[in-house]
Amino acid sequence: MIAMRKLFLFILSYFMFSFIFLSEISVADDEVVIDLAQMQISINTGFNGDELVIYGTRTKGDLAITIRGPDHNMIVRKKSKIMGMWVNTDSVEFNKVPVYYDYAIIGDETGISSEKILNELGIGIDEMDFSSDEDDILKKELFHEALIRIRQSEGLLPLSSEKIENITDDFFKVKFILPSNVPTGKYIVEAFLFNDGKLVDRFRKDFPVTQVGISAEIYKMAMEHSWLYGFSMVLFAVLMGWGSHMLFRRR
Amino acid sequence: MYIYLPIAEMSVPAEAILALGVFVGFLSGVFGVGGGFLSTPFMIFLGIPPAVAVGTQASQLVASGVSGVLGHLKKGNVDIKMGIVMLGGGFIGSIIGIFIFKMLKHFGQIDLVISALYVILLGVIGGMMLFESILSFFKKGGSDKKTGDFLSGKFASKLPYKMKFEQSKIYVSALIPAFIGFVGGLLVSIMGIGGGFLLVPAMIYILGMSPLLVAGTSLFQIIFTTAFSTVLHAVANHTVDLVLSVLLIVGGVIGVRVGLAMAKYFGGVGARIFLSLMIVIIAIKMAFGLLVEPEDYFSVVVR
Repeated sequence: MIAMRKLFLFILSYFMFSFIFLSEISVADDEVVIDLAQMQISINTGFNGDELVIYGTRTKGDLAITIRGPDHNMIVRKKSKIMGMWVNTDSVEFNKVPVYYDYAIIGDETGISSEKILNELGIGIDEMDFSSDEDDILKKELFHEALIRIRQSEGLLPLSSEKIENITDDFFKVKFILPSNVPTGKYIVEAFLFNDGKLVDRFRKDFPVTQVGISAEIYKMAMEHSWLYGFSMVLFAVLMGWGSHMLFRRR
Repeated sequence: MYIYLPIAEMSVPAEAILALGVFVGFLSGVFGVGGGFLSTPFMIFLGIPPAVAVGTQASQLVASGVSGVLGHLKKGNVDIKMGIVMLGGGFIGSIIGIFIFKMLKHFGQIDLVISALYVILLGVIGGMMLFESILSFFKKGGSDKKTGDFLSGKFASKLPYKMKFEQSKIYVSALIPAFIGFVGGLLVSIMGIGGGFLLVPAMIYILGMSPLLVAGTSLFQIIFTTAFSTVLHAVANHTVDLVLSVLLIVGGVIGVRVGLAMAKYFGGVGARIFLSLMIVIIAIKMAFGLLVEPEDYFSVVVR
């Protein structure tokens, strides 16, 4: 509800803004606006995946929404048989692969725009093309395919597009599922509006996926004060061992 | 109930980890082994990154080591001088082990090396234990091994830095126990096991120490190498998970209690056959992982 109210206020102020300053420009411009039902995805001790709900309005046209996590380099390794054992023998490193990606589309996926534009905007899973220093094109393609297949099986890349639910003609809702192994970091949600295959408007909204509470404290301490963390772990273990010894002695 | 592991950055069923802790604790209560050889592969099987499994296991071994050694200390079954000499080698072994671990992780061979080491070490030692316990099952009284043969050999007597270990009643070059400790330290850092199952026979057959002293002394040594390795893993690799460690340790404390209470029903040759069978089974399971064609040739690592 809060999100909807916020969205409403946002749209209202947008129109007021455009009315005051841009009154000479036609109001019936192509536009898309989105907002998130949550300000962030919080990972606490009980976290086992979450869903992110996005609301928005749009004028006429084809709509695509993407969500992507922070980019990391990923190494794809391939096993082969050496002296009877299966060993990692070959690898390709891909640059700037989003650790999480999902998308949703209204309308025909292939008809929405040209492959080139979709690729540039990062819409769709088939159009994904991660860069790599590998020169062998066939090899790169093989490893690229494996990368997408494995990340899909981990729920971090989609198998196909999610559904956008039209609540009214211009008001829509879409839901993305973030699995329990979703990496932390800054995530970007972006909406794209197309008319006749041409991009006419886009709207971006960022949100963090972050550990909160005890989890966050532990993570922070482990990363920032690793010496103290390591020694505390040992101290804790010694105390537990000593405690359990005392327990037996009493018996 | 799923619980989120802040360092592994994934959630696991808390019951499974607790149960693992209880079972491992039970084993150490009954047999006096650390049980790292069981829990590290099991955690990896649950999908916990090998690096986190190994790093966290080290902290659990500290707890079970302290609990065990306190009992031995009271009975005077710890040769502290011997333990300290072994520790010298153990520290060096742990440091080198951490670097090897980091390097193997970089080259993508860490899984292979961990599995291969498990297969070789567990296979050989489990097999020997099984063979010996079956033998002594049939030959009542057991075979009396000629211990300390190595010490009177040419090589050992030529080594410098001879030291007298009053409590163990042996006179030997400090390099030999230090080397045994070194190998133990390597194993802690690379495999996340205390290495007791390797140290114990080495101390009995190479140093010729009495089995009674060996258990306490090896545990004494293991506490420090695992503690050291915990800190090193925490600092160098950030792979010690507090939540995972708490679950393992709490489960372990309960398990040790049950194990000690049940030890009298499980004593003797039958128990040793059971333990060695379990070690051999894990070795075979790991060997399958190496030898059987994988379902997927590819794997992905996030940098």
